Amino acid sequence: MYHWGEGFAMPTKLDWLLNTPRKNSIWYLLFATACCGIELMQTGGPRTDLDRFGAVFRATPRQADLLLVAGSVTYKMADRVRRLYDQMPEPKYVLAMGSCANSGGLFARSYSVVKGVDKIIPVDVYLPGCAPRPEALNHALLTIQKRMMKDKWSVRRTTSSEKLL
Amino acid sequence: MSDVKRMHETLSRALPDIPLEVESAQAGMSWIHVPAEHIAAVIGHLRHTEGFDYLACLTGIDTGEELQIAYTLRSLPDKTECALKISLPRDEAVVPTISHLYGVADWFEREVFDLYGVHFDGHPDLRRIMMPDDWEGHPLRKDYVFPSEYHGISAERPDPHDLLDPEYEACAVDPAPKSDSKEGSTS
Ligand code: SF4
Repeated sequence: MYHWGEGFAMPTKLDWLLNTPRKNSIWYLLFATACCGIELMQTGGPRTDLDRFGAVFRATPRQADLLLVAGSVTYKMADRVRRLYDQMPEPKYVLAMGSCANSGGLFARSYSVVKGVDKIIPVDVYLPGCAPRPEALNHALLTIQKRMMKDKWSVRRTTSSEKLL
Repeated sequence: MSDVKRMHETLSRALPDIPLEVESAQAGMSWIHVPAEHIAAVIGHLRHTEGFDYLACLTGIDTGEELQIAYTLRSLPDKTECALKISLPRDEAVVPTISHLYGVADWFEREVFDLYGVHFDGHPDLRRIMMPDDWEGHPLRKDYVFPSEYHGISAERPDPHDLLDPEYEACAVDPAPKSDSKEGSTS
């Protein structure tokens, strides 16, 4: 049982209190840039069913906690990705799904694809695969949840996309 | 007789002033080579008189020495196909547009302009279509130099092949131990 008077236990409990509802309602942005998006849709479907973790898609960045970059991002798209990210309320998380979002993947030697979305925005979890199976995406979501539970209420996350440039 | 040869005869009769030649590739495909400045006249004739009502493809080619543009026309009622090609110098690639003949050519030509830097004379709206408007260069040209950054986004990432341990690679491609063990197990 927890007592308010007992010194340093409080922040931990507060973190738990804040993070638990947060991790159980990860609303991800409905945003797919390439073929990985198909697997993302599949993951939202009945078989893997992201809904059971409280993760549902949102069609606007203003309501989203998680930016799931599903697919290759071109330089033309990069500005939009960054803008979407900046429009999300804090705390926000980024999951780079698929080899393209991780490093450029099979387009790494092309002229138009960004060589990893971490060149534009900070990434929390990298999910390899081309495309990752829905089970893998499920696991990545659980990893994000674990990551969320480690957050401290007193520590502000680095979220500015400017800082990377 | 192939569609292309037949069309070449028809065109030569109808447009005697334009030098047209049938060329073919080893793979069996053949096309009519047209001087670049006459391409609009030739395609206009095919469109209005020969019934080629469908522009299936308009694409650019960079052979290294010259730029080419290939036009593939189809006639849906006659079920015939005709391919045309033009050659352009690399440094001054200008060609008359055919966007007034086929609406779809508008975007096709913008694409060729974007990726090969060919200018289409008389095109109503010759802008880039795929690359960002402020992109420099035309990426599908053979002499294109890849940018090292765009809008502050670095395009550098180490090639994973360079990071691999060379000895690891040598082991991975050497099939000898595997086949040995297989023989041992089957005999
Ligand atoms: S990682 Fe593979 S499946 Fe995913 S966007 Fe890239 S090419 Fe498509």
